[in-house]
Parts: sequence; structure tokens; C-alpha cells
Amino acid sequence: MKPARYYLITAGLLIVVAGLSISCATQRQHHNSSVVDYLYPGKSDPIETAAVPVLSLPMRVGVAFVPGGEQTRSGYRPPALQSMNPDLPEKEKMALMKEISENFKKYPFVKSIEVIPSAYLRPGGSFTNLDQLRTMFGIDVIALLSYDQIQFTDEGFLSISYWTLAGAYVVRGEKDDTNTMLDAAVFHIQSRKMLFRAPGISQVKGSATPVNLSEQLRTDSTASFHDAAKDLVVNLQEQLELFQEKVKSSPEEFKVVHKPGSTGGGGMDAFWLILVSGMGAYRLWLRKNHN
Amino acid sequence: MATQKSQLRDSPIPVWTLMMVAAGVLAYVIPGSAPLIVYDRAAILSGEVWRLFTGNWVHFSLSHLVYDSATLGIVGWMIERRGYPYYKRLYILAPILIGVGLFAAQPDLQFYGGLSGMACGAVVYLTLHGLREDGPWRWICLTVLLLTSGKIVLESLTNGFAVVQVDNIPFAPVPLSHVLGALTALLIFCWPYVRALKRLGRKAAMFEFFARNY
Repeated sequence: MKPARYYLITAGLLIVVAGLSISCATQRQHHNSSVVDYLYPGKSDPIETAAVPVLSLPMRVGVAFVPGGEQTRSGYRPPALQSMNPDLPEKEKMALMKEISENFKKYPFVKSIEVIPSAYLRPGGSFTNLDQLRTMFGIDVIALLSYDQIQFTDEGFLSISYWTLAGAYVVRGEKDDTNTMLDAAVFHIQSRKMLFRAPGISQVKGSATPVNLSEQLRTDSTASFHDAAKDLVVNLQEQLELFQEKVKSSPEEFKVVHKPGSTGGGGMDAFWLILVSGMGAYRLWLRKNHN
Repeated sequence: MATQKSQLRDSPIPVWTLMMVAAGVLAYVIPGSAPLIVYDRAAILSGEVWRLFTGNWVHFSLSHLVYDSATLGIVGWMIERRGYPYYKRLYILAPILIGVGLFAAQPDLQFYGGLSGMACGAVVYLTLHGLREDGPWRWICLTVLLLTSGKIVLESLTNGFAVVQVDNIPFAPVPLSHVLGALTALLIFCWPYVRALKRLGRKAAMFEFFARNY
């Protein structure tokens, strides 16, 4: 075999191997939590009879992430890159809940919003756990947040430069794609009734070198959660408007009562009116007699 | 005892009082106007500060409007007819002080409405000036002033007599608005003394104040 042909075949094989390595290197990470798993654990047919909710305005609202954090991974990764990003950290959950709750403090029917840490929610705690939260935090309504995040990582054409070893440190050949859905389901705890729900979705695309891929995925994951939270706030406000209309149009489905003291007025009564009428009558009588 | 009657101007039409009452009636009859001007703590916190002032003209029911407007109308008519000075200041200052006072002192109060704070202030203002006149009117004013003060104290101690249902809304009387209205009236009544105090010093100011009033 001539050397030229030998080099050509070797180069061809290398390209094929590189191409195969690129096409086979898709990784998928999936984190999620579910409101259904939390409220109806182990029930294939989750039926809970909801009563007519009595909404006592202004309400105390709780916000909490349902426990879960189920993680799955698929696709081949080199052993050095196989560490899985952890579930959404508590600090991030608290920041997201504060971000969402800030937008709802302005409503007159919301008296206060309690951000409830995950430690207070048991996996599969169901309504028994919600009743405990109701007592502990004095809340009437709770917004249960769940999420579903999938991160795909692919190697782009630039990943061929990894063969040079230095390329793995400087060339951003790893393309990642983070899709997140945050969901808020608002429940009236006492009646077990879901009042309304709203989703927030986000897609974040990024790239990284293999060396900082894990860090980049964490950054994109956080950014995607925050984007989804912003979208969730907009959708929640829309759903809230619709819910208000629904409450007005369907009084048989929702009963609204106002807590005493929230609405007040300076009211004169018969006592004052009689008093000043007497004074006025006297002045009129005096004027008539003078004339 | 020098009568003040000769110094008083007789105003045939109580323009300011009519304006105050008319604003309350308009806020009640024009659909959609009350939500824009009612004292709403959350809206005030988000920047709609005019509600501190305008909330006084919103009423939650017809009887609420009738009682407040009638009381203010009668008392305001007498104040303007008698030509008592500075009553315009009462009409401007009272709603501001009531709104700001409620905002500062009653954070639990989400919504407030009613002209009664102003009406109460007007009653106190009328009776304080009435004390300067002679004859039965002076005694009538003294009696009304004592009854009014007693009622305000009683309301404050019991925090309103009851929660009244108005259009399915538990409507809590707010005695603080009456206190603030009365205090505004007292402040405006004593205003000439405060000015003299600055100008002449304490003893001379007191002398001038009592010499002018009694």
C-alpha cells in the first residue's frame, strides 16, 4: 500500500469515528416534581371530593414547592462528565418563590404571602400535610409550585477540536438546550378545591467547553427557572383575573366573605343627624323670628 | 361678653359645603368612579396617593351617603351662613389628615370611605365657634360639643359599636376618622392663637385669644 493511500484511509477513518462520536453524544437530564404525586400519592384514581370553598377576604396565601425532585438521565457521557446536576437548591427555590410572591402582594384581597421552605412539606404528604401548614402558617390558600426541566447536551461540529486536547479546554463545542416548565396550582386548603392554575415556560440555549459543561448546565438551569418564573407571573395574573370573573359569575361554586375590619367607613348615624338637625331648626326658627 | 354676631358675614349660598356634598353624591352615582378614588391601602402603597384624600367622598351604601351628606350639609350650611373664618381650610385639611392618619395608624384597614370624619370635624368647628356667641346658642353649642366629644370617646373605647353588613360587606365603623376630623377642627380653631403665639409670645397670645373670643 502506498503511503499516500494509507494516510488517506487513516484520515477517512478518523473522520468517521469523530462523526460517530458526535452523533452518539447526546445526553438528557430530567428533573421534575409533581403536584399529583404530592397530593394523591399511590392513587391511580385520585378522587377527592372538594367542598364549596369559602374565600375569606383578605386571604393569607402560602407558596411552596412540592417535594419530588425526581431525576433521570439518558445518553452516553464520558466518565469524567457523568456527574448529575443536583435538584433545584433550596436557596434558588426560596428566591423563585419570593420573586413570584412579590407580584401578588399588591392585591387588596391578599393580606399576606408566606414563603414556605421545602422542609415543611413531606413527599406524598397530601392534604394532611397541607392542613398542618394551614395551622402552622395560618394560611387559607396555598400556591403549590411544581416543575419539569429537561436539559439536552449535544456535541457540535467544533467538538472535533477535542482531539487536539487543548480544544477541550478552549472550544465551546458542547451545545445545551434547557427547557423548563414551572406550574402553580392554587388550592383552597380547607375545601380541597383547586381554584386556578397557571404555567410558566422557558427555553434557554447555551454552549460550553467539556471542562465547564457541568457549571454551564447549572447556570442555564437557574436562568431557565427564573425565565419560567417571569412567564408564570404573567400567566398567573391572567388566570387570577379570570378567576375573579368566575367568582362573580358563579356564586354557587365559590362563596366570598369579608373578614371584619378590612373595610371601614366613617359613618354618621341618627344620633348625629338628630343633633345637627336640631341645631339647624333652632337657627331657622331664630331667623324667622328676627325677620 | 362681646357678641361676635356683628363681625360675621352672612353667606346666602353655602358654596363650599354644596361642593363637598355634591362630590360625594357624584362619586356614588357615577358608575366606576368609586373604585378609582376609594381609600385602598394596597393601591396607595403602589403609588395612587390621591386616594388618601379622595377616599372621603366614597360611600358604600345609600344610607351611608345620606347620613354623612345630610350631617355635613346641615353643619356646613350653618358654618358658612354664620361666616366662621377658615372653614375652607377645614374642608381641605380634614380629608388629608384623615387619610394620612388612617394610613399611618390603621394598617389593617384595606378600604375606607365616608364623609363622616369631615362632618364630625365640622360639628366640632361649629360648636367651638358657637361658644363665642351669647344667648341660648352658646349653650346649645356647648351641649352638642360635650355630646359629640362623649360619642367620639365612647366610639374609640368600643372601637365602633358593631360591624354593619352593607351590600354583603362587613362595614366596620372607624372612630379614628372622627377623632382626626375633630382634631383638625380644633387645630384650625386654635390657628389664630398659634399665629399670635409666634408673634407676641405665650402670655400676650393667650390674652389676645381670650379677649377676641370671650
